[in-house]
Amino acid sequence: MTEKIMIAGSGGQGVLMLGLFLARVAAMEKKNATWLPAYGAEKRGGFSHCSVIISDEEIFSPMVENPDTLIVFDQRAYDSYKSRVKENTLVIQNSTLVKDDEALPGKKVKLPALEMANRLDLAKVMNVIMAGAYVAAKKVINAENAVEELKSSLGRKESGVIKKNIDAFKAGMEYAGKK
Amino acid sequence: MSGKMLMKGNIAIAEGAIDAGCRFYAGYPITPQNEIPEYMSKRMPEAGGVFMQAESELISINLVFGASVAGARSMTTSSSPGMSLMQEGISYMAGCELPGVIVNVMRGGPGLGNIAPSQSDYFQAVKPGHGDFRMITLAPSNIQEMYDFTFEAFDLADKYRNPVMILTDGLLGQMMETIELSRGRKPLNPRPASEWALTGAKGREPRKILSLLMKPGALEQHNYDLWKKYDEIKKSELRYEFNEKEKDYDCLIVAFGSVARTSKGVIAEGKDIKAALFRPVTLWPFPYAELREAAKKAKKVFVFEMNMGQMVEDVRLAVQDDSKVEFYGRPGGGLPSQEELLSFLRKKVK
Repeated sequence: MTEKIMIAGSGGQGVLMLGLFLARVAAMEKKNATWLPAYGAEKRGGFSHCSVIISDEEIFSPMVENPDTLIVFDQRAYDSYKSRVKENTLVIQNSTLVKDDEALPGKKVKLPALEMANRLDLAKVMNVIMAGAYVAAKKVINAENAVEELKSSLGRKESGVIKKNIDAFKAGMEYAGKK
Repeated sequence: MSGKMLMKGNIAIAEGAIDAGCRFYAGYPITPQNEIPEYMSKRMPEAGGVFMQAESELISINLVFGASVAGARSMTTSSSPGMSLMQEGISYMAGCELPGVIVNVMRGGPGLGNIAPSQSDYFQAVKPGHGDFRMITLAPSNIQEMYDFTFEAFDLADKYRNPVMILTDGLLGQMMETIELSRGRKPLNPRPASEWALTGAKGREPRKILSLLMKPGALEQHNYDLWKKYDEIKKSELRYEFNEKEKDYDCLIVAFGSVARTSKGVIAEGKDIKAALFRPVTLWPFPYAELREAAKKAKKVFVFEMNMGQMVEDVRLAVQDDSKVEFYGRPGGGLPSQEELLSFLRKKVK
């Protein structure tokens, strides 16, 4: 099993954190994982993306050219990477900020992650909602382990914030699970 | 920290150094190696060592020089332009036969260049500084090796009383990968500093450590002695990765560092081509004889690098048949993709 994930959006949306989160859960499950951020003069609102590879085997280049899964947070990210989508690509798109290109192949999960996050009264959890949708739509990493990782990485935050994150993760899972 | 964990390449270098007993670190900020001094500023005091932010790379290497004279396991890290500034100090350390670990997380050049990954300092690493000296150069290809090689570099530096370089790039420095730390592992300390360092001459004969040898013939003799040591290193410390089981090949790919891992992907993906990988792990000493042997049965030898052709010169010396050698490289921070390398391979094989 080798799963190549490309995640893209804008600085501040939690693009890199989402990638890191998925790679950490994979490490917890004793899988091999790589996480490669785009680094440069990063700033809030600037283009942000990262590559994550999860595998049972040795991982070669950490760069993802042809993703098995594309996770996009906004229109600019979608427009930049949609040419890489093939018949079997899973596309998880934040429908609040992404207008779907119906001609595009691939299996799509369109979820209004920003609206859902606002409903939880914490816009920051948008990436956690996207993570939940990914875990439900593609069974590469285990949902319980993901919740564990969420708790341990948020360890020092106040309990209300941790609960909102877990609710966000579950909301994302539920939404994608229904589709 | 134990078991499988996700770690950034730069942090793995810092951890490898701490575990090897490095207790003096000096550095100056430069991307893409900034995580190392940042992390060391916190970790080094925790480990009972000294962290110093220098005012330039020139000072960093001379701080390491000073710490090494006094017998401390010491390290500095930088990226390409900073490494140029360190060349004088590295030569002084080699001349004085002082151990020390120097890490270059390479970025695009020349000049101030950019902050993207590159392999453009191969020449500078394997043919360093001024004067007739050599430096063991290790090129990791994954994050496990970033940790392991840095750990081992300290023992190598001590064993030969010589600077050792870890030559890596922004891709490996910035990426994270699952690794397993071997916390139980102890450094070998093959040549305790107490035997040679300047620690105060109380109760023993004074020692001198210097590289200025003005007496007629003295410097010439010093160079002969150094080369005896280098010949010993060539015999004992050569490292390379070549899967002997992949005997059935007619293309041999030669690549180091991050390009070597991309090349493995090229071989796995290009099932229509019978290819094998030869990866020099020590760039100096370079595995000339072993590569020559491996290249004998290959119809073509492909060299892939993130520069305009540096290691390829050593490959040509090894293979001794220029008509066989094909080169593909990307300079200035250009990252060759697996698809790109595979299509070059296919084009040349047909």
